[in-house]
Amino acid sequence: MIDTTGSHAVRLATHAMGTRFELLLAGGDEELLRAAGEEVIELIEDAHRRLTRFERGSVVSEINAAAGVGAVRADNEVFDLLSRCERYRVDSGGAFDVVFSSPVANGGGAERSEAEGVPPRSSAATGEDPLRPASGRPPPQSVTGEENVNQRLVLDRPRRQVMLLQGGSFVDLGGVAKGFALDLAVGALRAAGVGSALLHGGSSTIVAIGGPPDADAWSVAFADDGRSPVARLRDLALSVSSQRGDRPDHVIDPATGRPARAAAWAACLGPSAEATDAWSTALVVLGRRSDACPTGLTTVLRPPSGTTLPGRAGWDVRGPDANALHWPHDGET
Amino acid sequence: MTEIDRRDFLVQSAGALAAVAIMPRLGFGAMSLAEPINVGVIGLGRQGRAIIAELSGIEGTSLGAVCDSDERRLAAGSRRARDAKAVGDARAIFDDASIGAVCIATPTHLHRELVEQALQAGKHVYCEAPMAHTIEDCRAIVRAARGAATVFQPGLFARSDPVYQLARTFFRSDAVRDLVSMNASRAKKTSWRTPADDPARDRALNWRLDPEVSIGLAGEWGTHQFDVFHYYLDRFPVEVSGRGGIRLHDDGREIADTIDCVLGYEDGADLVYQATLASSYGGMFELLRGTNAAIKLAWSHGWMFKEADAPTQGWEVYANRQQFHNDEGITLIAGATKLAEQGKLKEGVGLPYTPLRYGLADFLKAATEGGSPATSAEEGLRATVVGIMADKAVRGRTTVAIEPDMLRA
Repeated sequence: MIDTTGSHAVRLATHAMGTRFELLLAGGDEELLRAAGEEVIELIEDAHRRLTRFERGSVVSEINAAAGVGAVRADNEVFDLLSRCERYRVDSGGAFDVVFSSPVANGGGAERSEAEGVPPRSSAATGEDPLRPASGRPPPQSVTGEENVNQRLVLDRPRRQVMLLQGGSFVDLGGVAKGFALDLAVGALRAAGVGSALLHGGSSTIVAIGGPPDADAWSVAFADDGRSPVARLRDLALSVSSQRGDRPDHVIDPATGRPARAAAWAACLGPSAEATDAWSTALVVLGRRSDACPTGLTTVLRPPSGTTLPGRAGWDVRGPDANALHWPHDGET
Repeated sequence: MTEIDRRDFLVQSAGALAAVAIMPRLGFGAMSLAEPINVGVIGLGRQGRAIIAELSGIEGTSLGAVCDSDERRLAAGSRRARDAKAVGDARAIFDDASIGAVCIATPTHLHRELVEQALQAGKHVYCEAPMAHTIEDCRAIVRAARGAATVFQPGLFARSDPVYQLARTFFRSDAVRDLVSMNASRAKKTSWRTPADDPARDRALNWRLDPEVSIGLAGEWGTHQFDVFHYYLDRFPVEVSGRGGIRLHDDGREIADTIDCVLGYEDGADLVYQATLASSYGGMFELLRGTNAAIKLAWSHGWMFKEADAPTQGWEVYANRQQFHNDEGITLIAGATKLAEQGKLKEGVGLPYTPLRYGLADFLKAATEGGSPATSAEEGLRATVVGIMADKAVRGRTTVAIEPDMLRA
């Protein structure tokens, strides 16, 4: 647990996107910190209401309900998020995707996703394709232009309209929504003058503002096993995806509709929680750092066959913040 | 160094309540206007930003301008509405002939002047509730609304909310029979503060904690819920007793963070109202308990609990039964026969949109298509005045009369 002894710290939490968001705000006036934190909690809850596909009335639910039928107008923030998701898809060669189709009608039994904290059933367990891309892995293509059209999703920027072209296909932002919400939260906290905070969504995406009052950086362990990497976060976001642990096989390869197997662990560090969230998911599918991965992102991978010995051996770490990681038993940074 | 394990954060909790859901007949595409209209939003705090988000879901609406005198809030509001003109003075909106309607979501004590100016400028006006912080200002707003050729609607949602409309038909159909008692509550664990880094900005943003202009929990929250009972009963309380205190936020504030009120009616049936900033348990609800059944309303959901000896009325056959501890309820569904035939009975549970969107849609339909607004200025005045008087009772820890004249413009 976070040790807040001896420092002015405020802890706030809420349940959203099927998981628990928690904020630790430190190093300032307690009233101001609490007020700033409450504003952020409302931002996160609002993001949930707009992005969930499991509650009628959200923008995403409306887009899904109109799949193959018509376009839905989105507010600027949601429209821009979908545009960036398309960019993540293109840059990751389709390894990250937010458009799915299901053998079961959307909303009528399609597997719940990371956004709701319920992993999709694995194909091994059910013998069926849990989720499959709307038309296989679509060809990566540019999203520039006034009207972006690919095979499945139309993003009409002048009208801020979104349309799924295939009936039965649906948008699921589970791979990116927590990061999106945390980025909004960080912006609001900084605007309120908060200089020391640690935020997380479901413990898989974590963002640090500054460092804790008694240290330069927040130290966050990847896992409670005493040998996994520890990240020292200062004005950095960290997202971790793993096909093991308490959510096995929750990342689906859009190309096959089956659980991704290319990496046992994948993590990203970078300035944007949304980007680390999206890319950590893509890395589990890719199993390697993509050439199109933004240079500002640090990627951390352990292949399925990687060593389980303590220390850095077997981990592939690349990017500008590689020094933010260390391994408990080899002292390596 | 502070050492944290990611998994240590994770604490699971779950809870689900169930009972009788009152479900309206709704579908996608319901939110559209016959005629387009350009809207301006004044006040970009939480409610103003929520209005911006909801307007984007009403087809035919375009957001022409957003306004806030606070630069940071203006910037935050503009992020969701980049195509809209961002202004720091509402006059720029009133002078803009392309804008047909304005939504006012400023602090309560600033409503009057803005409403009067907007109506004088020929705009349709949606004004957040409570309508004002004084009875005098409420009356001035009603006078301005009566004298305007445009639509004025206060931001009270019950009369626009399909769940509340449906439940009211049951209430009025004698399903509840003789009214025994009424309860309403709103609970949210929050400080009610907005972060501000200098005293002037703090005072401007934290007006709800300023005893000179705030009407407290009874006024800011209670007003919305008191209107539910006005809507259902067509009667109004004649007195209110109240008390309050600081249960959690002992930060020097004078405005109570927890209150209890009893609103008395001439026939003896009381409404007990509780609100708190110290706990979230229970959320927001209204309860009308009768000799045959009780109706509980929670904005997006509604339930009916029938007494065992209540007569069967026929619609129960379509029930979606749910359990609240020892009470089993029956789901009431508008269009239940059709939905049951389609096997879609459960899909109607809960509203697809927020009550705010229904309120805004009603306002914009009245503005573009003519007709009366869903909630009138007079109804807004009555709910607000009861809220103001309840706040007065809480502050004085006393009982105050609500004279009939107070509820007239």
